[in-house]
Amino acid sequence: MKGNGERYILMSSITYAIKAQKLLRQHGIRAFVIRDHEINNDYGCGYAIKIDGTDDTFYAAQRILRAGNIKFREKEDGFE
Amino acid sequence: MIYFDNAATSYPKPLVVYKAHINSLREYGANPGRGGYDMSLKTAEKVYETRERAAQFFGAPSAENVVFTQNCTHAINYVLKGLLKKGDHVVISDMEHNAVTRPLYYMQKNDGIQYTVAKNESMGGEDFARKYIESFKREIRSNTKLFVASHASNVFGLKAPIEELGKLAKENGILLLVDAAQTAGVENINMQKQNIDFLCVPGHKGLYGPSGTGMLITSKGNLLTSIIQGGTGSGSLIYEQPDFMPDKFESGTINVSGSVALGEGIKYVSLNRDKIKEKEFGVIRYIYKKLSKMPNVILYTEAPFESGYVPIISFNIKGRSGENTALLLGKEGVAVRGGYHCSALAHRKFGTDKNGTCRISPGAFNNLEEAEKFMWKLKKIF
Repeated sequence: MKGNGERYILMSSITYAIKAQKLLRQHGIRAFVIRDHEINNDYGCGYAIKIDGTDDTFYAAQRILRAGNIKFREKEDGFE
Repeated sequence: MIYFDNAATSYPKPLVVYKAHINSLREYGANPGRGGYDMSLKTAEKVYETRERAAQFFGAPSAENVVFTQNCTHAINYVLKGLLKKGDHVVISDMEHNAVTRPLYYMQKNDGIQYTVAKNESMGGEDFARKYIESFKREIRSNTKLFVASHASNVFGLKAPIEELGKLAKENGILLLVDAAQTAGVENINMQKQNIDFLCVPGHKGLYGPSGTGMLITSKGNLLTSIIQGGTGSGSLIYEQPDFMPDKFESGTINVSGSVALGEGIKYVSLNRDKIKEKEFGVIRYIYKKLSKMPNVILYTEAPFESGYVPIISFNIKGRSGENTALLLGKEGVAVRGGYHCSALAHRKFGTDKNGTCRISPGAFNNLEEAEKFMWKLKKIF
């Protein structure tokens, strides 16, 4: 999910956010856990992974998370 | 003080655990999973580190399979009350702690759950494991949902054949809960290899963490309903309790400093487990040998050996209750536990439900010199 030109992947909880951060960093992707207060969603509150890089980096990050079985929020109304 | 009550809680703790506990109050003082500022994120990462260590230590698939609880009893209750529905049947061993028997007794009385105690006539020795498995097999019914087994008796030290029990459970489509109160940190437990569905663990015994810590470790959290609901730090606009681990079972603030210190305890044990075990068995075998030569002492098991026991023995002095012996030893500066050890079943099995026993359970910081002193002090109270 993108907002303000920055790339974020919404996570379901801090535990998955940290797990995702670790996995992405192991794959050489600059990933940072942040609080998702800047991103609109109707989930309420939570954590996101900020991805430093291009669109390709962002999509690669999503692929890595899917392969690692780490759930993240792709759609407005639910988690993948 | 000679502290021989490690089955109740381990003491002392390793220095790294004390340091981690104190430092974490300062360095990791925020609430993990609530804020977005540095200390909150740093705290969350540190807590995650303990989850990862625990998952690796116990052979669980991943860190999120680790739920922090207040102790082993809470972990057991989360499973029993989250899993069992009216009409379900449970088989338990005849050595279970009240952490298992009391909730099941309550649920049988109030919630329509049935449970059976698998009676194993063996009290140890070569046929114990075989008869243990047979006793569970005999009690399987069409509605048996769960086996519950203490990995080792907190009174008599006897170890259950968990791997074989896991195999029996899997073959029959039955889930297995292992109460690892006396074996976590002592025995090599691998949940995946041993087919353990729910592993309940105290943080404050063999893992040398502080009191107020425990874990439920499971990859089958989806089978459990949560028995406590509340704030989990995310999804706050949704009233539904999260359905994913560990959040499903961690409502409210966890014991952060306890979890951080527990992480150090797990690290300490993973580096030193074999040495600790050797030391503990050295102490317990020495004491057993001396006790067995005393005509006024009653022992209830054979001499403990590593494949069949954890390093715990119970004994009595003829004509004295276990509590009385423990009281007199306490006055001599020896810390042991006398009485019934929250284990009515184990005492009934061994016929010690009239007088109880006095239990000796050494830990990582005991040595043979203390074992010798113990014997000297014991002779004083005769």
